[in-house]
Amino acid sequence: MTAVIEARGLRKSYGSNRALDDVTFSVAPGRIVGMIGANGAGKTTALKAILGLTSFKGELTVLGRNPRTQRDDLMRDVCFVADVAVLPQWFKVSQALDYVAGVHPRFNRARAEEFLSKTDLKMKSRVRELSRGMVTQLHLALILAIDARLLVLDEPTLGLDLLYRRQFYDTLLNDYFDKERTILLTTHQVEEIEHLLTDVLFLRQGKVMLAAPVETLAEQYVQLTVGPDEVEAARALRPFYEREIFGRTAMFFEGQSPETLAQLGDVRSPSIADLFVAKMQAA
Amino acid sequence: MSTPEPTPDAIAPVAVAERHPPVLRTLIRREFWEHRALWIAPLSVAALLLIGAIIGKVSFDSSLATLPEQRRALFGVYMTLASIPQYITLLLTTTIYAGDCLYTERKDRSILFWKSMPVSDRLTVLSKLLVVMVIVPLGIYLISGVTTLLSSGIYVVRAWQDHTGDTYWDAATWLRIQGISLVAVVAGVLWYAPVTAFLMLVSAWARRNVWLWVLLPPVVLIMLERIALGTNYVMNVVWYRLGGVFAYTQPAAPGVGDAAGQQARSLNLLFANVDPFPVFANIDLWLGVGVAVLLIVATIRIRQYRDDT
Repeated sequence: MTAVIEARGLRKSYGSNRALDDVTFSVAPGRIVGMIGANGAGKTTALKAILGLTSFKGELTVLGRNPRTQRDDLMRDVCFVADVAVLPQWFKVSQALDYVAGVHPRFNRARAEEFLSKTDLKMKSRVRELSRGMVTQLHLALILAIDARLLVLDEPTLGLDLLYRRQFYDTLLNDYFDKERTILLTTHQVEEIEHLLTDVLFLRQGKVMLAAPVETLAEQYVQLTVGPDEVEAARALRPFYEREIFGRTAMFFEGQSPETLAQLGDVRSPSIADLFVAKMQAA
Repeated sequence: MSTPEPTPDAIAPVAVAERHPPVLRTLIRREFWEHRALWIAPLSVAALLLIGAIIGKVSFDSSLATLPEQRRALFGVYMTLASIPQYITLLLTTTIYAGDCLYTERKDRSILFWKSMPVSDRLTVLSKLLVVMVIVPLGIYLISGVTTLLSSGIYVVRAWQDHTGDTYWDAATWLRIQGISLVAVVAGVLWYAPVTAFLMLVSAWARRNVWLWVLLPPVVLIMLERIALGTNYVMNVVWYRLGGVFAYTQPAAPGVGDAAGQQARSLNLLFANVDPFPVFANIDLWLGVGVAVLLIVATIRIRQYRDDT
């Protein structure tokens, strides 16, 4: 199957700061990819490049198109939420529906209205009168009613409370996602989206640290927790990262067999959040 | 295993696409949603003029005009004066709009929402250009025409009620003034096209302080020219562009005496003899339009490639 996103050797600098430094990855259709990185790791720049919003060096195709030169065409199949705070303050809910219905050939107004009917939003409400959570609901209702092939979400839940965040991801997974669609998202709250990701992409200082399907992570990475007596023996197996937790040491191994490690202590697959921290700290 | 039936969701977008109204119409509606002054201001001015006609104490001063042609001229003057507030409104609203229309979306970052829709930068800029150069000027022209018609109607009714009997209405003069106004609006829009386009360019480009960036380049150029060359070429170009159009919309009046009657007679001729063709034959008008086209192309490129979100 052709990749939805194919990036090869992406580079982009802001002055001396390398936001993207030879970034190569590809995203297959029907995946939910979490792009994870610290602030300034290049996530937003990568997303902007994919959306044709910024210039870059290197090769990039999104749904078979060049996002820079074929952007208008691309936007029929791509939807994005850069940040929910970008809906204009003067927008009325009814105007938002009218607008998207008027410009987007793949917008299903009835579907958006159905999403909205489950919320407290009124057609006459203006964005400036709404809480942040409600603006998110509005933006989400608009975007999820568009039959897009690629949905890009950059920190979609930033600044929202837990309830709204949970609701957001539930809707995304239950009412929107299917095998035809691809979702690429970034977030700081890795723990909250672990269960829904099919792939991870770790970025650090503009470089790809790890790009892999979630199911292969368990085969590749092992977290071993050992007491003080086994530390030396475990270290001999060369963990790439270790840290102390309540007097015990958690060690992270790549490509080691869990059976061997199990003889030294407790073995489990690291969570994506723990793996991310381990990878970043080790680098 | 049976072949999966297409889901209603898969069919729906096609149906939606067929009912899809023209994108441009939506973009234009959007401008009037955001910039409500574009329609509120002229309608408010019209309302004030009508209220003025209803409660104001304006009478047709017959001492100025006794001959029919003088009365006709005076009627013409009244009609023209009555539309001046609307044309000041036009100047103000379109100037402010042109400077704001591509700036506010970057200021509030809503550009990220607009750009998430399949609307090209070209169509976006063109929709704003259509609003500022066609829809608002023609809209205000129509509102002004209707307002003068209604307010003069109100005067006629009031004069009839008061039994002063001193009223005047001349449909031919009113129509002629509407014709002259239309020519003046079209000529004005074309003459100021490079100014409008420059405002839009700065609106798309300036990170902040649009109006500072509008004023700074001409002021700096004028000063530099004075210091370096001691000439005033740039200043003359700017003044000519900002005010020069009036020299071309004013017809050459025949010899005017100082008596009121003679003035009225010459005014009558003024409304009779306006010839729009010298305005449109003026090469500077079309050079300005050419410059405006270049500035608009640059504006589209800036909106396309500017990335300061």
